[in-house]
Amino acid sequence: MGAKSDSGFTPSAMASLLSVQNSLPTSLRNFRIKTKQHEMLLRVSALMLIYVLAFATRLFSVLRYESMIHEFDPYFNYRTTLYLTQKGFYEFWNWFDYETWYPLGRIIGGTLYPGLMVTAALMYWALRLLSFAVHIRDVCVLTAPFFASNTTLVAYFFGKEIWDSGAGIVAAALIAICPGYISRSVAGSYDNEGVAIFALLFTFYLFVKAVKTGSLAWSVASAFAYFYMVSAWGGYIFIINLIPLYVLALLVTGRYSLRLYIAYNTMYILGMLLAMQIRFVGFQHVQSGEHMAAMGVFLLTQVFYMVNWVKDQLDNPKLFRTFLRMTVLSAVAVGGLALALGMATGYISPWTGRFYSLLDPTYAKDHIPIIASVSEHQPTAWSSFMFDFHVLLILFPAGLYYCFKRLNDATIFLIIYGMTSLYFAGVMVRLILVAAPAMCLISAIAVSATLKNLFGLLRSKAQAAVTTKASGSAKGSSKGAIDQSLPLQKKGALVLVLGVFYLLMSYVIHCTWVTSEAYSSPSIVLAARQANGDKVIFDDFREAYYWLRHNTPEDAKVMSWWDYGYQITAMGNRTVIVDNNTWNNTHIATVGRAMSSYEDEAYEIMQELDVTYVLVVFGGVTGYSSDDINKFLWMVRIGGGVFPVIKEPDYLVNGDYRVDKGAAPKMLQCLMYKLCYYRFGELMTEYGRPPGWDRARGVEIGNKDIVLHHLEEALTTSNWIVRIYKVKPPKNRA
Amino acid sequence: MNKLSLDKEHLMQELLQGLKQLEGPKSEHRFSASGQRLQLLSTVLLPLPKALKKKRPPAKQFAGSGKVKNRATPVNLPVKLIKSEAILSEGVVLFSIILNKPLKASEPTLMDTTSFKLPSNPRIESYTKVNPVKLADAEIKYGPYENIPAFSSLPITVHYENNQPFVVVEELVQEIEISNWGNIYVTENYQLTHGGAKHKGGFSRLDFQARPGISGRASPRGLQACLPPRAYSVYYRDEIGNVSTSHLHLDKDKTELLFEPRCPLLGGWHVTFTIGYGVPLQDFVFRAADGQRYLRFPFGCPIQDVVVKKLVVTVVLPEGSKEPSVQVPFTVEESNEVKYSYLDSVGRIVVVLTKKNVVQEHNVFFEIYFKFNPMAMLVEPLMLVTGFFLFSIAYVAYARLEFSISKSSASYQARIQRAELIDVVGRTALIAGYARHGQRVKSRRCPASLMQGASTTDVQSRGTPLKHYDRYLILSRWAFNAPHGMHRLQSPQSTHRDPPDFKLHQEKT
Repeated sequence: MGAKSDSGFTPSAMASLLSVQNSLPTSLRNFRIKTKQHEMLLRVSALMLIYVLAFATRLFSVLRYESMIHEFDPYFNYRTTLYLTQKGFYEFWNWFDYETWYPLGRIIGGTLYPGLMVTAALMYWALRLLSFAVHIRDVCVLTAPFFASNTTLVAYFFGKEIWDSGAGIVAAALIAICPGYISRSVAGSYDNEGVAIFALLFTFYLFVKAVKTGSLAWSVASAFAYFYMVSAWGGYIFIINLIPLYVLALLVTGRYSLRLYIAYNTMYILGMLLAMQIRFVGFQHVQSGEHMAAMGVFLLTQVFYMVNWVKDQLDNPKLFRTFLRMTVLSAVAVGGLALALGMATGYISPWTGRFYSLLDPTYAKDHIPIIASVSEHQPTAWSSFMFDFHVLLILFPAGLYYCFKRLNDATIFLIIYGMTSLYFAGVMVRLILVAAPAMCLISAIAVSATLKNLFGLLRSKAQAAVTTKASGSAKGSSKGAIDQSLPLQKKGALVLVLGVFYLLMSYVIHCTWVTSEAYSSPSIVLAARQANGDKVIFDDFREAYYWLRHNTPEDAKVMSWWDYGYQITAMGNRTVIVDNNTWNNTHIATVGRAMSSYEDEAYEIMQELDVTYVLVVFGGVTGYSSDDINKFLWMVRIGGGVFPVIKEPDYLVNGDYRVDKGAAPKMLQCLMYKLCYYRFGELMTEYGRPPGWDRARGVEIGNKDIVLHHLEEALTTSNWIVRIYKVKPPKNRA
Repeated sequence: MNKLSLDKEHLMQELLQGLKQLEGPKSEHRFSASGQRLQLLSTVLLPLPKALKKKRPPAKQFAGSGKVKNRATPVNLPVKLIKSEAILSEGVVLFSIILNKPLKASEPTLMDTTSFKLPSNPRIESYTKVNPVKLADAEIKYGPYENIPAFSSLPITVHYENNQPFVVVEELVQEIEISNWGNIYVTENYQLTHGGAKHKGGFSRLDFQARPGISGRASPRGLQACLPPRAYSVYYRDEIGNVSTSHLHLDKDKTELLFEPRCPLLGGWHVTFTIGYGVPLQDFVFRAADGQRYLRFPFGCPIQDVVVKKLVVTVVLPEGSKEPSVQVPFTVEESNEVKYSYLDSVGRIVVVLTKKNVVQEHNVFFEIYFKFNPMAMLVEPLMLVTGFFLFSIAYVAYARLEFSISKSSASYQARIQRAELIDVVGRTALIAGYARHGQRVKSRRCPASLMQGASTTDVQSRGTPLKHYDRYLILSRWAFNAPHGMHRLQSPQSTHRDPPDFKLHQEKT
């Protein structure tokens, strides 16, 4: 759309439009226009196909399972969206949710990024207005694929801006099926990231455009895109640090220009003011340490501007040099002093743990167990890089090479974006998502430039004279020597072209396979294959939540580990003690302590928290390995972090975590163990094994006759995955 | 263990089931406040097998009611064969018998006996003792009581073990949406309760699975819904998604859905779910002789062996339908609504039929007649076509028209001039740049890049030209503010002196 408004004003574009019009009746007369039309047609249809493909490839989960919300966080988003559509925006904005974090509650409007919910609600209302009787759940399920499709368009324009339209199309195609992006944007994965990647790339595109043109309009547009990003995802921190980094790089490399000044200052000031409207972000842009880089660079651009002005005023270079030294020194000093003062008085908050853990991957492990306990916060393994990027990993360095060959403001941005996001992707698994667009763009440049060069070689048979030079600026000098041996060169080019196509094809196959096999499982419904090849579905989670919804008192409070909090409130419609928001570490630690105490002690804690039901997830019958017993050590660690009564070694035997006969005595008697294995000792799980054989861990459990004094089994689902216990009321005083 | 306390409501249901044969369009039976005694009955509908159509025994009414000796003089009653399409089931005909003396309960009863037949070997906890009362095997016999005053009643409670799964549908909302494009979509929203004795204490999955005969005997392990033949896209879901415990058996005559509730259903537990399916339009919508269309659809709940406490049938007629009229073989509450669905402009007429206490025997066909103009079918496609057409027109207009505020405005002129200037500067710079790099000038490439530079306001950023461009951006901005811009531009040194004027930029916008 940017291109449209641009071409509206340029005379040449108008002229070409007119000539297109003229050429229609006598199309044969002007062949050149016709090829242009052809190219246009091809490009538009390719883009449309990519748009559809990006949407369609994300529908595996809907076809395999059903139109449903996946995972954990999306259930919260879905619940809030439902609330928004039912009660309106003001109710949503002022919502105090007493169903979570009992008895504390949570101010929803002030503690969430509303972008996603508002987007989905707007789409829902728009469709309703157009008299499409859709259900809000389907809108939510399809939000992420829809925005992924839009991202491909942005990638096209971005690629076009940085390199050329060919690279744009390749970038759009690569990002449409990139597994790193698909992992967070399949249908049903209704999470902030789904829209945030679109907003992120859009902001970057508009900013690069603004820097390139120096236009106020583009800068304002990028500020609004930034606002949308802030409203959608906490990852906006990445933008507000990357853009200053980029500006700084330009300043340092002597690429300061008025365009940059206009673009950055407009975007920063306006974006900051807009971002303050989001209640969850508030005044962080001027108060938090994570946002100070942007402010520093903002001041630095002012200094640069002043220096340039003075430079124009002073004829004497010597005088100017002294001036420069003085200004820079004083600016740095003043800035540093202000920062130190702000830090000392506490006006500027220090960096948060999450930010630290990004810079130092080992930080979370030592200091914040609650962050380290989440699997998506772990450092990335090499295999998952290969899994999520595949050939992009190989193409990335090549693309970087091309970018360095043609260094300008736009490619510098891409290089910085690519390098930083790749680093962050290495620190945390989930940040692979942020790196995916950069990888796709840079790889697209590699593919597009290489193919262009190679095709230039292949096509050159007719005009031998021109060919030698037409092989492109990138390879011009190196190929000069081989230019003489034309046949060999052409064969080599052909082989290379075929090689590139082979790479791209294998990328497509890999992406489709990964999407269908790994990223399209809703994780709320588990599927397994039987020995005879039939698919078995374990729908235990929903069975349990549904039972809670209909067969427990409405004011029941459910205690479970925080992972299941969002799902219980969304599907079970019951109050929970802790949930995935994890804003109150002490509260979570209390639950962890209850789970790892003896039943008597746990009963006291549960009485204090007014708990009526306890829910545990147990995979011993089905072999489901991410159950509460396997997560139990984290409960001990998090509980022990706040309550030193809980000591991790009490649950280990010589550093080993065991549940069989050799397990630690406290382990065998703690609440979690009892709740998971209650009456499990009587059950035969596998033929040829003793009763009480835990299939998830492959051992015979150590405590087979568990007696519960204060709790009673309320429901165990058909495959024993979820077990719910009722807390008995206190005994009458005799 | 489940225990059923037979309270008034259950008795009412049992009586209802017992009296189902007496119910018909003309019957005037009513229940007294206690719900146990028939008051007035003048017409009796008698269903008999088809085989007995000819050899029907004569219907007789004894003159008096009560003691055996008074029954000596029976009177033959007029019997009419009812030709109703509301057939209960195959092979049954209905006879209507009109009593010449209505049965009344307002007269004193001379003798009364009531007996309750319980399942064999019942575990009876207690039963109300009103002498004479006798318990023999599985039967409790009350009476005979003599000379009972009119309208007198006594509640009787029998407390015995009954492990039948008492599945009660608290409310069933059935939506039948007719689409004249060939489908009827049926959506049934159930609120199911286990109506048996309330479950107490814990629930052990181990016992439930390993010892089904002892634990959770009263829990319905499978329910069966008989859907119309040729039903398709059958789904079974609830508020939180699809329920995977169901099987569908299709054959020529019927569609059978065997399903289990999402979670076990013990006494007093609830579950809600939705069953939906589509059926072909031609199976259920026909044309009447007078040109009207009518829907002929089975009334009632397709699940077997359940009591529906409240049944709401909503029939959504196609948009543009008029004057709906309902024919149901029994009394129902009737009301109308309007519903908006996909691409609706005036909304669809919805006929709502509400009936309480529905049992299996109410599963008869009902008819809804309505007028429909086939042209109304074209409204929605035409609306879509118009929408797309208008969109294209708008796009064409947008692409062809100039939307700047004024072509004569200073800013527009300035912009044109600026573009031209940048174009010239860009070309010069490019030529200069390429000239400096000697061999880089290529006969084919050079004009192309010049063209690119000219086609957009931003010069293709390639090292050298960009820097020029940066400077000339300042220059041009500043130049247009000056009264003789082009003239000043020719002396570039002077531009270095003056800072670019940013007020100008604001004014321009």
